[in-house]
Parts: sequence; structure tokens; C-alpha cells
Amino acid sequence: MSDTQEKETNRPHWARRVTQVVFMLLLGEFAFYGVFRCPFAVPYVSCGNCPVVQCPGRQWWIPIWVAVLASGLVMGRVFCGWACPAGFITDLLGMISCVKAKIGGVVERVLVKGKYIVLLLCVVAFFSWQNPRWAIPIRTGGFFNSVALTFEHASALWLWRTVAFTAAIVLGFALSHLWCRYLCPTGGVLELLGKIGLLRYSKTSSCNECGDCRQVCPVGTKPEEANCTNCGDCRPVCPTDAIVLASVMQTQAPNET
Amino acid sequence: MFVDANTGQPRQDPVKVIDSLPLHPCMSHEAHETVPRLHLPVAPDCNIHCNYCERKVTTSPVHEICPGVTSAILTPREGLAKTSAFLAEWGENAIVGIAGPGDPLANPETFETISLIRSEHPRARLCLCTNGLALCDSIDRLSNLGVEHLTITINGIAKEVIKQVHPQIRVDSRWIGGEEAARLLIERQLDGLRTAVSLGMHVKVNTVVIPEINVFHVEDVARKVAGLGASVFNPMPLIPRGLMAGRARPSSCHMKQVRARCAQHLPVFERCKQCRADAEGIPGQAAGRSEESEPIMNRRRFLKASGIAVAGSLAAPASAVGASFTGERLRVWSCGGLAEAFIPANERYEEISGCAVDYIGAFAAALGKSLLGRAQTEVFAPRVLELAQKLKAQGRMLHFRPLCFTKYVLITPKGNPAGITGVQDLNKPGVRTVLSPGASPPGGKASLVILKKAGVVQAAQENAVFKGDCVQRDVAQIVNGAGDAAVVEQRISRLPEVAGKVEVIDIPEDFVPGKPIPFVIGIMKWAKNAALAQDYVDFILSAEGQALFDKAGFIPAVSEEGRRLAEKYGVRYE
Repeated sequence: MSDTQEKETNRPHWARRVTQVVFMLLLGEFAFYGVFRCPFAVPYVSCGNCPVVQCPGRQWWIPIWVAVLASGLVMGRVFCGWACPAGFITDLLGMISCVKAKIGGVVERVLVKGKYIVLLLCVVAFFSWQNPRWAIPIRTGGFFNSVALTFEHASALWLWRTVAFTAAIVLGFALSHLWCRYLCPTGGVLELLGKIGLLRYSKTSSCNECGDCRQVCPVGTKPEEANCTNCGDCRPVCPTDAIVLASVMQTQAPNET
Repeated sequence: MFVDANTGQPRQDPVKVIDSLPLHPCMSHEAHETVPRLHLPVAPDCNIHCNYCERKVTTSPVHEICPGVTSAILTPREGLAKTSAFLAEWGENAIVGIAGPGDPLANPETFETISLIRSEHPRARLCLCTNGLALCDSIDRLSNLGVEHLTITINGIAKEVIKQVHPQIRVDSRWIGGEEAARLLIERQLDGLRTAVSLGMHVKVNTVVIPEINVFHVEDVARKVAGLGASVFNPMPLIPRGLMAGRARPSSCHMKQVRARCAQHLPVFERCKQCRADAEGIPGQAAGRSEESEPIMNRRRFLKASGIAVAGSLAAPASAVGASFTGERLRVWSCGGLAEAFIPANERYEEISGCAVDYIGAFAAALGKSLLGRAQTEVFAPRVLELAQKLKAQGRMLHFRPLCFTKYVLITPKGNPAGITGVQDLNKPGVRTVLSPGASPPGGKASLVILKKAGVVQAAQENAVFKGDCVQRDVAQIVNGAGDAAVVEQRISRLPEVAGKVEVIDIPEDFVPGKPIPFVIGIMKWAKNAALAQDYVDFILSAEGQALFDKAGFIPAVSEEGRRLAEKYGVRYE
């Protein structure tokens, strides 16, 4: 396989990019509000009684969550690779980045649990602390002013929350998909759902362990392994055509737990 | 002459339409420059009180240009002599009118004068300016005497408005006031207009445009009188005199907006000089002198009367003459609780004015803190009077006035399962209360004060099934029936997710702490276009604007109840 060919196939499938753009248009605003305007400790989940009247989540949060969770039951983290606005941004950052540090081994296996810890914190904040408001909601206002005012009057906890998230996204430039791989609680939920889901990309017995799939993988993993978002980018590069979309039940390997 | 009926055209271009109006200097722009008029001051008595009027006979004639002013009162005989001389000098095309200084129809001399003129000059073109109160009674006489032109001053068609402009009217030699007087005046004016039109007269309707009272009502007047057959409409900027001496005069920008709105309904006369009761000559040619001296004098008088603080709001319009609000931006901040009223109000105002409103609605104390720091906005509507006073004391807010008041109510789930009748019932055993002690002050805290004053705070806290920090979230507990009762602001019960899903019970005012009740609206020193900011505030305080606050669950400041609360809580123009 020549170099140019490899680069050709290295690119994500155009269908995935188009889908990401479409979902960015659909969900981008809600995603933005959750990070920069949402007063709650855990964003995106208290929209029913949120005073920020401008946020599209007030109307759409329930259908959006139903769809996201349903997608998890169908195909695990497919939302992450095909629809999540943050996932799209980290993908783009990963594309322009010259360093794509991908950790492996024991460190990776420990860090991968990070998102379940964040998820646990969110569950505690939501159920035990009643998802407190850490910022003063700017109910309605122009783009820049509202964000500036939200930051101006936010509590330290809210600033930590927002800065930490933003930093994790931006650091994806250096460490590919830092947020998505190690911290995202939604990713954690979807990954758990994927284990009892319908479909996923998996490897057939013709796999020769060449590792090309990990090379092209945006999140530095392989089919059937943790963090696989079922994006499908690896399928065309497999020299033995061992990567297929298959039923989770049938492909659950006994050695994989 | 009804131009619209003839042409069948929408009155898009009032200037063109107006030139086919009667050749009268106060009805047609063309005639304004060419046709002479004579005002005969034969009618000293008046039958209504106008708060803006200062009727007087003054010996320093030239300087005071304003209706209701004359240098002398003429007898009918003197009036005739003056007319004969005038017609001899200016020709028979001239208009001879009676415009005060009182109301012509309240003075028998008016009819005497007209009769005399008619017998001497059968072709004289006669005109009359009246407030319309006595018009129905004398319209036949006027018509028989050949009066072809009539001006009726109608400052409003709503009792609420008229009450503020005309506190008293005289009917059958008796002065009456209040609601009844306002109703009667409006009824008679409109009847008079209808009859005059049916008798073939050309009727112009004048409306004195008074900021904060009728600026946004003027268009309603225009629409109404257009429907009744008025030929031309003349909105006149208030000349602050009499009891209205302390008020601001509407700016040119303001007037331009008003005229544009009215021109959608009938031709608008734009060159009125608001002449004295003894004016003579061609108004358009005397314009040079009067236009130059008049605004300066009024501004000086205004400043004297109301102090320097408001100068900013008046000085700016002079430089913005001829500007319109299209394409301009106005930054408005308000207490977040008002967002449900401000959002639709802003949309409507953008429609009317063509300007874009940059609106932020958020916790007033936070916005206030920003404004006391480095943030800037042009109009600010905070909660809690002290905040506005603080901003004003620091010179950041120029002035403010009452906007609306909030009201606390008791809400229960639909059907009121616990049978709550009042706030006292919250201490009954088994009543599950929902409290929001942590909600953003002052709203959340006020609920606890109410419970305290009602003597049930301890029981209510013991009965609480839910103690939250967000009223909007906590009311969900009432909607879904998990709690039996909660004390909230009425506005909460009008939110889309709550409206119709709860029962609302009044709370006696004695239990309610005063601090969180009033909201005010003020213009900040950063207002780039003071006329625009003032126009916006006027709209918010207009009947249309205030109705949106009522709908969102507030008590509008411009209402009977609002005035009572303003008095009670000491909220006034500052």
C-alpha cells in the first residue's frame, strides 16, 4: 500500500463529516449554552426548570436525551463520533494537530475509568445536591454580553467546571480526544449502554493484529475496545477486511471483559 | 374631501395627499406657505381644564408663541373691524378663524362675531378651533353660518389618558371630573367630529403629544378619527406650560416617529406652529421667526422648571433633528423576572421603531453590581428601589420612574386538594408546603417574610416537603401535586409551564414586605441617543407596553392599582 493511498484512507469518511456538521447545526447552540450559560452544576439535565429563556434546551432537552440514549442502545458511542458537537471539535483539533499523543498500556487502562468517576460526580451532584446553581443565570441577552456576565457573576465552582471542560477540549490538540476518552460522562453512559446494545464494529478472525486500525483511529483505540465510538474510520484501512459491523451479542468475545 | 376614497390609494405619502386638502394654511402644506389667516381673540372663557394650558392675556406680545395666549380680548364688533381690515389687506382667500384664548364654543361672542362677519363678508372663509365638548350643541349653528373648517383637539380616546390631561370639564354650568368627565368629553368630541363631517366640514384633529401620557396612544387617536372622517391629523409636541411645566417636550425624533405612525391612517399636517389666539398673516412665512425663537425659549423654561439633571435627555434630540430610529441599536437591561414581559415588548418596539433592542434580563442585583462597576447599558429596569437610587446618586442613571409592581400569591395544585383558603392555613397539620429559602433575593426571602407576618413560618417550615433554591424549579412540586401550597410571585403562576396548572389565592398586602415589590425603569448616562431611549421608555409605559407586563403577572405602574402602590411604596419620578 503506497503512502498516498494510505493518506487517502486515513481521512474520515465524508458521510461522517457531513453528519457531524448537520448535528453541529442542530445541537451546537444547546451544547454551547450548557458550557457557557448554564447555571447548574451539571448542565443539560435541569433544563425543565432553567431560567435561561434563550437556551434551546428548555424545549428540546428531553427529546435530545431520549435520542442520545436510544442511540447508545443501538450502537454504543456512535453519538460521540457522528453527532456530538464537542466530539466534532476534538476531531477537528485532532486533524490539525501535529502531535497526536496516544497513551497506551496501564496508564490508558486507568485513565479510561476517569469518565466513570466524572459520571459518578454528576450523579451525586444531581441527586444528592439537587443539581445546585453555581452561576447566576443570564436569562436572556446578546451573545457576548451574556457570556461575559455569566462569567462575571459565576461562583468559583462554576468557573472551575467550565474552565476544566474547556481546557480538556483544547488540550485535545496535544493529547487526542482528551475529554472524550478520559472525562466525558455522557461518553461513559453511552459506553455502558453499548455493552448491552445491538450493533458495533468488531474484528473477525481474519484480523492479523497489524494495528493499522489503532493508527487511524481518532481516539486511539480499536474495535471492541474501550472508547471505540463506532465511527467506522478504521474499516477501509484494514488490510484483511477484518472489521465489520456486527451484532454485539454475536461478537462478545469470551476473552473481552 | 376624503382623499382616500377618491384615490383609493393607501396614504403612503402624506405630503402629496395633503396638497389636495382644502386651501387652508393649517391643513395643507402648500396653503401653509401662501394662504393668510387671522385669529380673532374673542373667546376668553373655557369649558375644560387642560393641564398643559396657561391661558393669558399678555402685553408682551411677540415672544410668547403658544395657543391660549393673546395680547388682548376683542369684542365681536372689534373682531369684525379687524376682519374687514385684514381681508382688505390680504384678499378674500384668507381664512378667518377663532381659536381662543378659551374655547370658542363656550363664548356667545363667538357666534355673534361670526354672524357679523358673515353678514358683512358673505364669501369669507371661516374656521374654528375647539376642544369639541360643546360641538354637538352648536354644530348646526356653525354649519348654517357657513363655517367650513374646523379643528378639534382630541388628546386621547381612552379615559385613562384623558383623565391625566383634562382633570375637569364644565357641563351645564357645573364642573365635573374623574372617569365620568373623561368619558363624556371623549364621547362628545367623537360625536361632534362625526356630525361635522356629515355636514360636509373639513375637520382637522389636533393631538398634543405628551411624553409618558399619550405618545403611544396618539396613533390610536389617528386611527379612530380617520375612521370617523377627519381630513387631516396634526400631532403637536407638548409645550410644557401650566401644570405640565416640568415635563419634557417631545423631541423632533420623537415627533417624527409619531407622525410616521399616524400617517398610516390619514394625512398628517407637519408644519403646525402652534399659533397664538391673536395670530395673523401667513403662518409659513412667519415661520423663520417663530421657529427660531420658540424651541430655545421652551427649553430654557423647561430647564428652569425641572432642574439640570434631565438636561441630557432634552439637549441631545436637538442635534438629532430629522434622525429616525431605523438601524439604531438600544441596549436594555432589566431584572430577569421581567423577561417574560420585556421580550414581547421589545419585539413590538422593534417593529414600531425600526431599531434593534439589545436586551439582557438577569438577576437585577448582579446586573446592578456590573453597572456600578464597568458595565454600561442605556436603559435599565431594576428591582428594589434602592438600586435605582444608588445608580442615580452616582450619576450613572439619569432618572427613573415606576415601571410595575410584583404581587405575591399562594398557589396550590389544581383543585386545591388540601383545601387551602389563605396563607394562615399553611400551619394546618398535614399541609405539605414547598419553600424556596435559597432562591435569589429578594424574591425567595420575601415568601418567608410573608409566612412570618402571617404567623405560620415555623409550621410551614416543619410542613415543608421541599426546600429549594430556585422558585421556578420548586413550583414543579406544586404542579405535580407533591406539595399542597407555596408562596410565589404572581408572575411565576403565569409562566408557560405553570399557567393553568395551579390554583392562585391572593395574599393580604399587610403580610407582604415592601422591598421586592417595585420595579422602575430608568435611562442611563450611556444612552447614545437620548430621544430613542426616551421613546423606548415611553413605549414601555404606554398602554400597549404596560398590557404586556399585566399579562406576565405584574401590576403595571400606569394603572389605578399601580398608582396606589407607587404612592404606598414611595416610588416616583426621580
